[in-house]
Amino acid sequence: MEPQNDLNHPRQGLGLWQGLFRAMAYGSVIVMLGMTLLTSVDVIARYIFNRPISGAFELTEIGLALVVFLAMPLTTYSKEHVEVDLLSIPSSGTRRILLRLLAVVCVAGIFGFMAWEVWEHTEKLLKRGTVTNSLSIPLYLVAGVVALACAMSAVAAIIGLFKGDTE
Amino acid sequence: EELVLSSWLPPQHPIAQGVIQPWATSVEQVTEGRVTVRILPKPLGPPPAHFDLAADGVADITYGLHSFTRDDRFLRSRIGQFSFLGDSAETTSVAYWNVYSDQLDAQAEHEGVKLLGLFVHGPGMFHNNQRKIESADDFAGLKIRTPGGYIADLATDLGITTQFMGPGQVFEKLSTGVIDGVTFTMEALKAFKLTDHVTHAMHIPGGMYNTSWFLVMNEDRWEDISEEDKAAIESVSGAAFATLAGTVWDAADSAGAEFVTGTNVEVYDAPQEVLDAIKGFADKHEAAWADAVSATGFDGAAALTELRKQANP
Amino acid sequence: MTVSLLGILILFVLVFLRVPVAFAMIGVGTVGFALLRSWKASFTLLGNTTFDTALSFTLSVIPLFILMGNLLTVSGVSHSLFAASHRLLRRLPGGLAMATVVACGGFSAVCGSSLATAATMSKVAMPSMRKVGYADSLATGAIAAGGTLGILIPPSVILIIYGIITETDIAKLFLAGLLPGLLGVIMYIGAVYVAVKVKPSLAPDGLQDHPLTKKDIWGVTTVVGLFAIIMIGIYGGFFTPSEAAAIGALLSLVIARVMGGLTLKGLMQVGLETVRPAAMIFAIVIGAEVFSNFISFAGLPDAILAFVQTLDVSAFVVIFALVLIYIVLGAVLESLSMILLTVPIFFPMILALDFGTGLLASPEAVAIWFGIVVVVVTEISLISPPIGLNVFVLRTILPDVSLKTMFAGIFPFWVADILRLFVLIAFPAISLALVL
Ligand code: NA
Ligand code: NA
Repeated sequence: MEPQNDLNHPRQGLGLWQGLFRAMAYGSVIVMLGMTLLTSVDVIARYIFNRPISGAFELTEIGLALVVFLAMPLTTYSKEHVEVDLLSIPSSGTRRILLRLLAVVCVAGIFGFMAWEVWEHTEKLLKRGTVTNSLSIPLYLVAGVVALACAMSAVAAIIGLFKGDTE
Repeated sequence: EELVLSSWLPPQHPIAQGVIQPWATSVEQVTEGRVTVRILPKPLGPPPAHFDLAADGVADITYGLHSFTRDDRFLRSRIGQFSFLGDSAETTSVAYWNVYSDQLDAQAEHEGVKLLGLFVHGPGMFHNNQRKIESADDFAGLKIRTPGGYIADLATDLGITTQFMGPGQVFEKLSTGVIDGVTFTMEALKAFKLTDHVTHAMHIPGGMYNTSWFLVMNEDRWEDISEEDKAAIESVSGAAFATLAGTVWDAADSAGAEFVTGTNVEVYDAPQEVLDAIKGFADKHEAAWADAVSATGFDGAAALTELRKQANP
Repeated sequence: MTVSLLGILILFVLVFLRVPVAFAMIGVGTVGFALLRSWKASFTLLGNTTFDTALSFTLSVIPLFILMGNLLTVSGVSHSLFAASHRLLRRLPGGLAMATVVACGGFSAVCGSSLATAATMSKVAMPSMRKVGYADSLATGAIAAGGTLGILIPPSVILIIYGIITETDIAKLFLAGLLPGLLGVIMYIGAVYVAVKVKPSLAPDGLQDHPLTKKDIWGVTTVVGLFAIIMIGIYGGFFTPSEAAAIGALLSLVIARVMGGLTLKGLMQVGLETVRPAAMIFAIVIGAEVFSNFISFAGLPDAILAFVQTLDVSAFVVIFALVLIYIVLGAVLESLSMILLTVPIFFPMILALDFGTGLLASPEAVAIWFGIVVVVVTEISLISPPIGLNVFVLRTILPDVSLKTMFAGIFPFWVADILRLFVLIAFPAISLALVL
């Protein structure tokens, strides 16, 4: 896990980003534990009090979006996205730089477009005032978090380039 | 010209098989092959996304329910969701197309698309597995899945705990007791295999509620088509499409009723007391809706009266 | 058609050049859709798909089942499972290796991932087998192969993903995996038996008699109890798979606290190890969605179906051909990517095949059965050289055992897997008996 310098680039200043990614991932964990508790209590409430928690369905949906996207920057930074490693990447040299650049351009570029498009979606949801069925939670809030997390993931992909591969 | 249609119902569903597919074929016929409609093997998004898929030009043609859109874009379309509209999906669909297009400018509410068709399903019923609803008090405390919109508000007024979920999850949630029942048509008891988990199916004359559906095409793509072909496509859309869709729903409801006869589900007509209670709340919602509609410059109350008249010839 | 074939080619090139699979799929899918339609439409669709996939209720089972497996890993019940299995099989030749397989099967009943099952069991079983002088090849082979059961015996993350992309009932898929999973355990035991008979030096004799401790009995009881709660809960109609996952995770939390002494810090660590793979899986699900929108728009599934129909061969011949393709692909592809890359292409065709009037008469039965076949092929891919993820996981835990030794040890299990695959294809009843 020890990060090593890559592309001879200094690592100074990355600590803040790493901390941010980690903080978001902890947020994701807390939401997940909350979902676990909410669903369990919902089942118990149904059998014991014959009264389900209203809106549990949509809270779970929103919770899932938060769990996944809050964890996305750290996952991307740690290079945990599945790769097919038929071709091995040398530990240094031009070939390594080219291969890693290709991957980073793809990942960061796609997260960038995703952030942009989900942000457009967010604006639409805000303009139209779209809310969830039972608790009337404004959906633009969720979309906004997803858009932001995609943007953070793009950053994570780029600065992940400057740290070594996790083995 | 090839138009691409994104369809979210399973291919064997009566609407997909008996309405969308035949309509696509007839478009090709009336335009003598100049315009063809290709139905994608897989939808380009979940059901609620389908209006915007056409409006944004991701697909050319889509269909769906107005109530899936959780905002106020389709305020006037809700005329097709109220109680006591009509017993036949065919006449009600045609009436819905006529009245919503003429008196309430349906096209204006469907921004970004050409409105090709509108329809409703058969009368909405009340199915549950707890008790026979004999008075309005019997509704209280039941956990019922509704499709949202008007019927969700009406159910809340009746003391029902409403639950939201996709139609595909109803079977699972009924069998696990998450819900006690569902507002659906007769057809749905058969289509979603609910007869083992429902004991009472209450029929309300004219329907406890209905759902309104649209068939739309991206506006720019529509403008690309020649005037001649536009006219040809319109001849198999609009009222003709409403007739086709309504007939298919009616047939599906009949098949559903026949299927249910062989099961332990008790089908019965709502007693007068229950009807009166529903009517009381329904009037309130209709008045509130008509007020909101009049603020947009249309006479909702008159349109609703006209819709009921045309739907019950 | 040409565009989609070109797209698939570029996808494979990108994947080969080490672009993460999810992003290769999103990139090719988005560019391909744009070329067929327009850039604006394609980007809008990317935004929609990203948001709609995240907001999907059924997918919530994925992090929760991963959480359950991870919590049980730190709870130490794997030791109990291994001790009990060994107690049961101690008189048989290669008994420790057989016990490993059985314990893997047991752990699979509460863990949805093959990699996690293999990693967990290796920490428990490997030291015991080494202590009595088992060959590293047999020992690692049993763990790597036993671990693959994680995705077949319910719960299974792969079956959930298959269920979501094919719209097949997840509860039914879980039930369908049960008998094929048990068959897998039995056939792996057979593989150990044959291997040790052929080469007795793999597993030196010597009866190890360790009576079970109280903690072992408790450990086994909790695993059996948890599995029973999940299965009875789902199939007795008490709760849905999503609810089962939440309750399973909550109970596992209690077990990990009581039996494994889990601390708050430990819980957060387990949490991180859960949400990170969950995010990875979602990126891949979004990728599969975007990519399959493109190939469906390009008309590829229709074209493949039309092509297969012109061949005029029986449905089973088509399935055998597909399985061969899968075995070849499985050698080089990672399991999740393999399913997500291929199922959108082949599934519509599979549903349209005519299997006659027997068990496979309904599309739903075909979907369930094909799901089990796909998962078994995926299990094989996990232990096939050159890229067998389960083997790689073991390699990181046991760096002193060479890949060559591991793949050699896997060979008898691989043969058992191929046999099982053909049995499952020839007798759909094994997959469908409990479901229909
Ligand atoms: Na499992
Ligand atoms: Na492999």
